[in-house]
Amino acid sequence: MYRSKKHRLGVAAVGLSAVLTLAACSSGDSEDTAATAEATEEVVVEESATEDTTQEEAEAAEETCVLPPGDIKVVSIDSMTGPAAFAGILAEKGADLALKEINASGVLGDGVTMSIELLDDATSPDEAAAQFSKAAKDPDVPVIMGGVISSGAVVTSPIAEKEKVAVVYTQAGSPGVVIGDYTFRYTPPMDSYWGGVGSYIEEKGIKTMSVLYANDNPTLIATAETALPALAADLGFEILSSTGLPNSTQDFKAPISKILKEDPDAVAVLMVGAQNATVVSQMRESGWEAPKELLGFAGIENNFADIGEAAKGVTWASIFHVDSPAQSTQAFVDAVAAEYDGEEASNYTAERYDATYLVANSILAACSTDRQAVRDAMADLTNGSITGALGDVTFENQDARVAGFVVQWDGEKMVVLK
Amino acid sequence: MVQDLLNATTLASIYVLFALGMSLVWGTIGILNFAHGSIFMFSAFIAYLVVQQIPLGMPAVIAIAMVSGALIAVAMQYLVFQPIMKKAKNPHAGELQLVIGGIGLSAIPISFAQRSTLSNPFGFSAGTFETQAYTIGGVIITNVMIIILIVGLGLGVGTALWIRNSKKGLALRALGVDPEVSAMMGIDRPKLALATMLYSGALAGLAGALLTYYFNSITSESGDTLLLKAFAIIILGGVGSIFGVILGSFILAFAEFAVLLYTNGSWVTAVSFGLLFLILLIRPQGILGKKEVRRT
Amino acid sequence: MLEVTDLVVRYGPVQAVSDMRLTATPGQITLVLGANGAGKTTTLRTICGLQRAVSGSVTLNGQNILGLSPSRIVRLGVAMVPEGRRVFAPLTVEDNLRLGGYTASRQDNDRTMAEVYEMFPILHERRSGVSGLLSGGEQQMLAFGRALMSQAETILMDEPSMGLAPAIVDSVLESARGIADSGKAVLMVEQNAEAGLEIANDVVVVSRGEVVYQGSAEGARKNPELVRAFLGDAALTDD
Repeated sequence: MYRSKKHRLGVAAVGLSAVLTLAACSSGDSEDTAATAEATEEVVVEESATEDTTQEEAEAAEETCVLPPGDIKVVSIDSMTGPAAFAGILAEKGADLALKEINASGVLGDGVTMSIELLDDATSPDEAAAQFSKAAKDPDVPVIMGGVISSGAVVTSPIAEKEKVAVVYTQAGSPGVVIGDYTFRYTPPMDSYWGGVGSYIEEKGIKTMSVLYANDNPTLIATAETALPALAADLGFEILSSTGLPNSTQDFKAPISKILKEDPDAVAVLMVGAQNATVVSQMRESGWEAPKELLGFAGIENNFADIGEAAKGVTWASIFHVDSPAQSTQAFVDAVAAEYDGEEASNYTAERYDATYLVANSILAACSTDRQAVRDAMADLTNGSITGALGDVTFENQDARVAGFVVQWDGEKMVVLK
Repeated sequence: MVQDLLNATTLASIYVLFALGMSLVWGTIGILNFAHGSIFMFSAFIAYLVVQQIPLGMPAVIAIAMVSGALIAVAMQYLVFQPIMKKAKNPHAGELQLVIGGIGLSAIPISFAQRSTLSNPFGFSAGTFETQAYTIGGVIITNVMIIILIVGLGLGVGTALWIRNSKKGLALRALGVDPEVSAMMGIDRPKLALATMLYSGALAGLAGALLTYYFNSITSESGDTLLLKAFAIIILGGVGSIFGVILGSFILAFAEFAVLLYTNGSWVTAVSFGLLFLILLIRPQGILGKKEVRRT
Repeated sequence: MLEVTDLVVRYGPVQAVSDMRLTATPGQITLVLGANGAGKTTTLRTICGLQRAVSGSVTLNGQNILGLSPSRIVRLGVAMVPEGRRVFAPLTVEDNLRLGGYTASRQDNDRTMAEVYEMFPILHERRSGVSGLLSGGEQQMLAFGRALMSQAETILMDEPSMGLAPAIVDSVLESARGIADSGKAVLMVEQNAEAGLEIANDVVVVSRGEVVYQGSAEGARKNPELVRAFLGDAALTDD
């Protein structure tokens, strides 16, 4: 009884409309809908004062929000150097593009601009934690963006909760990142968009699978040790072996030899960066050809340009593809090409572009740079569906969900299968 | 089984190629060069940049990488290591400064390559070389593997014999024992040190190019990964012993292979460094290393 | 002939050698005596190029060699037998000798190696053994042989008797005498003044970096009080 009451409070405080609030509550807590129905009234009475104010603010935001002129500085902590820099640099391109559009449109109001103070965590959790603490303790920072590496995010999330400042992550796909009211993530967890790959597995009649994964990457560990076994149980295929390798592994002939002896229908490759390319090319050199499958579930994008033909037929799940039919995605792809010399848009750029819009929209909806107000507006916005570079995105407990694509490397580039 | 032995031997040859130059420099002119990994990576990176512009074959790519590696190593020796050695008050303080200098130096090419590639893998796919696989009696071997086996083992044994039998090899061994008395013998240390660094840099470049062909692509961090393994190999085999490098490479490669073949993988690092600790405990001078013997 | 004139050497603010004057003549042993820290070793190290000088000159047959690199100086004909012998312990006896002949031609090496083996038969016996396992006296012989291999006409010997059993000291110094008798100029630093004077031709006594006495070894032998006065008691009773 008490637990559900608190739950209502949290959501009601942000609510734009009673209907929406109730709908959200019901869907989030469907088991005890009946039990909580009577509690709702009680709560609303108790907290009527709070809700009134919020209501007024929200209405004001919709009609005549006037933010004080000046620059709204948002902090972004990203991996601009170190092994994850490829993702961090692409992500910041998305942020820069969104920021440029937002400021050019004048949507924040006369004389109001938004800017990002970019801090480099050098792909180090320690560095991320240090910079995050500093930003979180600065009351002038309304909201923080960040992410890329999970090992950093699992450390910074508790800081965000403690200091009560909203943080929007991209990437950082491991458990323990979205942990409470103040943590949001714009990259859906891998297993949430595996539906397509699941049908691919069924379609190809894959009954057995061996797994190679990076055993020092939290996201890939969670994928290999939890999500894949769950998928296997779901679809009825068997995982013959699961081999965890450290990031120092450069030669994969030994694990490949072991896998060849097991003779599975498919091999799941969950390694980092160049390791994916080496695994795939060494698998091919060892005679691994269709109808045997190479599947990716995480961490596998952007690695095959250098091995080209050898990676032909590798299939994986992706949240983003430049050929997506969604109009909003196409507009984004064009904008990236126009801004960055014809560059092909990536998932990293898309996520952060959308996340930056979410931040701006939250400030606008709150009509304030007050941390609590911004976080409440953000929670409210993520209650609905948001359309952007990633297409239609919904959120489950502040964590993004998309339908996703099944893509395949055709020898030169990735193409959409579904 | 034959396939596994062949693959493990190829991996051992790769380790030989990488660790050879590092061991030589450490065992003779006393520089534990922590920038060896970044010379390795950056030579391959330079070759990659050239191949992006001009589609070249394997010999040209290897030549570019070797020349780059040699030049980078010589520049490091001339601009950093030599001044440090000259200024060091005593050899021990010098050693520590050299290690720190090497670590500092290694960061420069790595950051540069990271920025330039956005930490994406890079390789020589724009070149004209194609990996070919041959099946002989059920065993698969590629042309890259053949080259690595010949070059790795050939250079390893060749260098070891040269150090053991030639006059310059003797001078290098003497430098490793007592640089000052070596100078009294007329051995020109700075000149020999520069030549050794040049050779070691060229070897790093060669290893960089061949590894990139073998693994198809490497990243800016690949050198650091190998650096730690090379360190273990040199300690295993014994500092200053080139045959020790070959032995250490085989032990590490076969140990890693065995672990990966018969377990689910998580133990591979623990086993290789466990071996290192074991050797340090029971035979601190390494398997083929010479114990300091002196009777007075 | 090796001539050292007005040599001044400093370690930072400490003046280790001041106005040093020495000569070494072919066929003769010039003995340099002095207490610890008198600047004897520093002088030898400066001559063979291991230490920089502030001023003064070192000439070999009239040609200046001060400021040249050690490897250059060996080639010009000055070899060093360092304090504590410092053989290359992990290397074999023969490798040590080959290193001594690093700057010499192959023919010279073959010839001199035979001569060294003749002079020190024990080295021939142990030629493929690790030099670190030789006894102290044998190591000293190896250090002599190594210096001879360079074909140098001037040989600097830094404390050849140091750390040796008294019974062996005489035979080592006898060998040094033999080297001088073969026509080499020997400049020898010794703590063991009594034993040194037995084989030397000339003697130089230094104190606090300066030459305080210079004369013939014979004169010093006849009049030990004279040397003792300059050296202090400690030096002469120290064996």
